[in-house]
Amino acid sequence: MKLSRRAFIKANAIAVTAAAAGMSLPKAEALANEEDLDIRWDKAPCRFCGTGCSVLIGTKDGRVVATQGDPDAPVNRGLNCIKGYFLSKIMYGKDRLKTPMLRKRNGKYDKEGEFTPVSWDEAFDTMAEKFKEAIKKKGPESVGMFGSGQWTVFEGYAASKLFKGGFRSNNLDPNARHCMASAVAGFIRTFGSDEPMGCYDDLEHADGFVLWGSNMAEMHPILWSRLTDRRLTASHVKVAVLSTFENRGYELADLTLTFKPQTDLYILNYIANYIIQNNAVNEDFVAKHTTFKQGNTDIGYGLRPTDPREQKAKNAKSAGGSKDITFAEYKKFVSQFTLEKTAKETGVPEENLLELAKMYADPKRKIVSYWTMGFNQHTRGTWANNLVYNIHLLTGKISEPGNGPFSLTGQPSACGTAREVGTFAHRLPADLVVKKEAHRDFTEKIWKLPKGTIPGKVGYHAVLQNRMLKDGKLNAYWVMCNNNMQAGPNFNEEAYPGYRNPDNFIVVTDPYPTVTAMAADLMLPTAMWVEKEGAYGNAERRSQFWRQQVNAPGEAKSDLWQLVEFSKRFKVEEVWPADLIAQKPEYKGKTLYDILYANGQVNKFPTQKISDGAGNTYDNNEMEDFGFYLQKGIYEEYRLFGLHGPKKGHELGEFDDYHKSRGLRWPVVDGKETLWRYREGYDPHVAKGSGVQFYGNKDNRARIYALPYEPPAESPDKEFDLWLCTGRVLEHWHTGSMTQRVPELYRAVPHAVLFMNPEDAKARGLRRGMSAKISSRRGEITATIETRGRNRMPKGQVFLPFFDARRLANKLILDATCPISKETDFKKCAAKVERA
Amino acid sequence: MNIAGVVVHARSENSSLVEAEISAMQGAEIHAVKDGRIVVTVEDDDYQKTSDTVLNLHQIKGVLSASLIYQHCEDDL
Ligand code: SF4
Repeated sequence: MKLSRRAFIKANAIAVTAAAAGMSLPKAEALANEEDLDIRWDKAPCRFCGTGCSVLIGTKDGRVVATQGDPDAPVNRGLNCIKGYFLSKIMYGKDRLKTPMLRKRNGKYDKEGEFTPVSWDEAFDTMAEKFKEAIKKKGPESVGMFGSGQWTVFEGYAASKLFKGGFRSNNLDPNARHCMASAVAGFIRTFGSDEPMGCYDDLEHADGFVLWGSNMAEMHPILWSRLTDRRLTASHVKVAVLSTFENRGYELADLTLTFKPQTDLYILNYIANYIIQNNAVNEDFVAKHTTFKQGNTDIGYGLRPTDPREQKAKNAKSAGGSKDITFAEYKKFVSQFTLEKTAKETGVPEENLLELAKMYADPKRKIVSYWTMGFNQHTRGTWANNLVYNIHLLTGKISEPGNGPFSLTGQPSACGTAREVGTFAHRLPADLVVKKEAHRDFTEKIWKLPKGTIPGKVGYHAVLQNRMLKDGKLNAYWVMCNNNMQAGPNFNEEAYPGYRNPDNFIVVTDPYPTVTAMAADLMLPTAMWVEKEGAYGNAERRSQFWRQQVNAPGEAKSDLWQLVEFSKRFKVEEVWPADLIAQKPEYKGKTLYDILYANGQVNKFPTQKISDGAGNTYDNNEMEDFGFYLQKGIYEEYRLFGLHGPKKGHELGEFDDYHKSRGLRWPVVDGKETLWRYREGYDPHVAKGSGVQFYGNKDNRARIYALPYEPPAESPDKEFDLWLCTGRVLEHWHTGSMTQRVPELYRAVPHAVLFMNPEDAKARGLRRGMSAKISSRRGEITATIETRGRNRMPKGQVFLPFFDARRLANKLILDATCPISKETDFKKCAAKVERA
Repeated sequence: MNIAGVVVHARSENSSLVEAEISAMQGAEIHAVKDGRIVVTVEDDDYQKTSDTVLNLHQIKGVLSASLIYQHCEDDL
């Protein structure tokens, strides 16, 4: 029998694989249909990247035993990448945290004590005491949270409500600050509304693809395979890849441009200049749909204000400022970016620059531009985003099938949670911001809070949180669903001293004892991925839901449970001033739980049986614990922001619709999703006869920005003579806290190696395979030299992946940010390499 | 026991070389080829685990992308 089951499973594998490749193998299909494997199958989005592939999860006896690319998913059409393949294993790492662990000595909490298992009660009591003490002594600004683009939508919303509406602190920021903040700032500055106008359907419509600082082949493998398919099946399609070193994408590329770090700003402006000089401007589009602006320059690097580089910068305090200019003035501004000058400054041959410019300028060629961290992790990241929009706006190649700029996201819900729910220090749900009184008023109305509850001051962003911890201004701090000690920059000088500052109490919630958790005072074990019901929003505005498939181990409880349960420990009198409570006397004596979650909205939906169309049933542990359908209540309250909020075009569908579909792309109006925003015929918000309306801005026009080149915060010099760039690899996801625990992935790529040019290595007495010391002004690590393989480095530049917990690459990185977006530049700082 | 189904992309001009390398890999089997897409299954064998073979598929010269379609793992099979 066993053999036949095996043969049968194999037939199944062949049939499904062939179908995903667009082929039919009838023999295998016939065999595959014969036996029932006794596995319950249900859909869920992948836990890893922002592509948002849908995966079929096969569960047997309470354990996930199989996964399959979801053939009905429009995103991945049955495909998964190598990380998707190991999804079923990420929950079963040997060192899963199963109980809260508090640092204790002699039976009591002690910051210098040993991690000791404690009950949830003891954990939350200790934690609540520290939060209350901080608020009492120094006010709400002394508490904060660092959240995640891997949070479910429900979790992000619960956190935002707890901190902004409950504790009255805007010191809530997601790790998405490190990856998407420049994209956000770019969207807001150009279009007045966050997130892309296009969608993945562009992949099958475009005649050309340009990758700006995106190693899509390794980081977004399924989108890459769709792009590859398009390139291999339509011979006129051209692929251009730009990077500071040769990556896997170069193998498919028809045109490659390897440029010196930071000089993408030249290339972007040169293309705009070429389009103007060669009469390729879509004059009608520009006249009807755009206006021009000159952005402030000399804006600094987001370093501590005491840093001489900040003190020297003229506009460090008004980095986002701009003034209106005319098209003629803009033309004059970009005319300085000639082909000769651009080739000289970037190191890219003239003919390659010209060929790229021609791709964009050709009115007959539909073009999609993709980018990820090359643009976003950039001290002028917001500018880079603005500048690529300029190109698409000048040519009118935007908001239609096959034409558009598209910012890819690294995390599964950077869009859905971090951005749309507004878990950033300056944001509220659905594109609202804390700075605007009208936006706060609206939020308070939906949340049934007295006027003035939400503070108007922008909270501490990611990098600033670490500085404030170190300076003792942020004292009670909760880190959830991220590994910031390993991911964040310069931790030797900022984060680590901040976490270990005796004035501070640090809580880390994670499934595994990460570097960050080990630096905390209290570790809380959490349920991950399909151990809870959830919702993610991917890079193309698609919100996808999943049901709980299995139970979390031990006493682990989901992030959502933790946030909501913790709120029960606070009487409103302990956190709000009397005059605020006086506005709502009915709140007297209530807990934050009563006010925020048992508010008649979030607890509106009673417990129910969760089942799918096939009649399978599923658990929902939060529903059991709180006695109502928490996820549904949160979602339906959140949805009010899109339906009635002051910012147009953020409608979401009804909760139950998402469980039935493979996701929907917002705005969802009358149950219908939107594929291309701002374009008549696709977007219901665009007025008839107008063609295009960029309605995020009041005048319905997008902004074209004049922005120059400015140098990086730190460049190689005599002592630190190389450019250092850190980043990811195909096999591991971000800091490897999940993928490093999958034995196969660990075996395949166990350590981070230092990618280096062979001549650079030789000049330092080094060879491939030798151990080397790499150091910057902020620390040093050792790693093995790699001069071949998937990345080929030009002279003067090295690349170091950051997934390896034993080689914390990002401690070498300077915590310089784009001063507008506050996103760190992980792609360039000065370092040196020596024999170890 | 592990079984995986993988679609491998390669340019047509490189396809036969890529196919030869895949066929030579332990536990890997090709079932169909069309338009640069190669349908492959991978199974455990005595020396090599499925997952390692799958990871190695990525390293073959000429492979543009390798996408997992299906994986099944059961201990007692
Ligand atoms: S491409 Fe991204 S979302 Fe898709 S399977 Fe791979 S890691 Fe998951």
